[in-house]
Amino acid sequence: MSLNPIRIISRLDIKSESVIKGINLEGVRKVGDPKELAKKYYTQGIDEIIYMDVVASLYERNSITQFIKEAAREIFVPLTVGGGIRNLNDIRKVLNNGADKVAINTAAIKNQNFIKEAAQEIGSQSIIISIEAKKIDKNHWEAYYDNGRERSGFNVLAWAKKVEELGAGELLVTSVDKEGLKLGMDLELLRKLREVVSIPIIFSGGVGKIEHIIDIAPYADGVALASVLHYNTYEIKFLKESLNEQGINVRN
Amino acid sequence: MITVVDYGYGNIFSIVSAFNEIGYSCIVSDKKTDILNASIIVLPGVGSFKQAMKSLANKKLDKIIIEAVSNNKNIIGICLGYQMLFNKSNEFGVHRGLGLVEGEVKSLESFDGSLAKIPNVGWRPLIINKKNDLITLENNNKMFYFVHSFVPVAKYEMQISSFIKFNNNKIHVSIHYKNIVGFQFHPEKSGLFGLNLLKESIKYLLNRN
Repeated sequence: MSLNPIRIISRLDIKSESVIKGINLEGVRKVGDPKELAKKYYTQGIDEIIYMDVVASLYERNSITQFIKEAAREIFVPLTVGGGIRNLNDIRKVLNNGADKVAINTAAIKNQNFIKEAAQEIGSQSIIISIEAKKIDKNHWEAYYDNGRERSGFNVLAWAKKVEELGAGELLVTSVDKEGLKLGMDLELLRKLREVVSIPIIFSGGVGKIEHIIDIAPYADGVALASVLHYNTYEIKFLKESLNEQGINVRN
Repeated sequence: MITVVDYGYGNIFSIVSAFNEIGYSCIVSDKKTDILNASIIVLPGVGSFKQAMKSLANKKLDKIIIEAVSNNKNIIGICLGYQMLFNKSNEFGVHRGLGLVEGEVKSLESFDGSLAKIPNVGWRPLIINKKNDLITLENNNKMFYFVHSFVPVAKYEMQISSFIKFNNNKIHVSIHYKNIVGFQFHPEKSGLFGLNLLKESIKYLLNRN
């Protein structure tokens, strides 16, 4: 069986109307304007865009609807919004403004029933559960929330299985330890996750080179890129052509 | 006038944005007159088949659409809106659709489901049905964005304009037949190729009259 194309996704972490980038989800710096970057990546052939409103869950507000509306007017690939989604109304608000999916972390950890409710009311296809995974020990990762600051006490593998059962349509898994370092992804974590869930996994954190994507391509459905795009390490067209030459199926 | 049916289901903002991008303005409405006066009715849809049909019926729009399309009015169904064009769906029970196209909506699990993942999410290359001939071969092998767990099976394969491969089956992912166009995938979310196919399909419908 030939593998389906791996989705090449740009992840834009947003704070105070700017795209930011940190290391291990900390020590952030501004890297650009969300609208300009999203448009640029779309034009270059990105498969999907994820907006993460990184402060919304801390300050219990939501500044992202306006971005989404502006983006959806000129970007014609799937858009996901995460950060500060707390209830069905929040979900409806972003989906009605042009987003296709929401990514939920904190609210899911605090109330697991919310996942079920969202899947039933809105439909699994729009519900991504975001998991921030920190390695604790060999074969043991803990799920964090509030942008890698708070511990949930949940084992990532058990949590992933649980959210699949509750109706999550996809997983966005960020390896907090690898995030921003550009030294490669947590392949071990991804392989373990692949063993326990069958829903699509978007893997995030650690890509610095094309080889890092090749390593995870057999196990991931999508890969989220930030540093390599924001710091212009690769142009998306070149990245995709290179992946293709190496036998990795990507969208043409 | 292109009328996007507003019945509470579907990514209406994105659909309207895509139509605007390719040079067509449209109105979003749940009024009978706007549907009857439309050059093309657009039926969007994301979510549950049963709930969506119910919502359409509550607004008394199902009968209006059925009658208009039976009388040669153009329609474009997208995603769940495509599935609703068919006789019935087997999504969590058996539910009646609009019955504008012969066929029924089936779970992807019924297509040898053990191999490929469900929901079927991501970009897939189209295989153009050469027996149908209503969309250009330029679309062949181009990738479009899918997110679905169910798919219609049309009774008459010549009505189907494209397939994708799912496991070892070719599943029916778009229809171009007389005044009816439908897409299982999201042309409004499939980049430039998606916009091109949408444009081509609108032109087909408008020139048909």
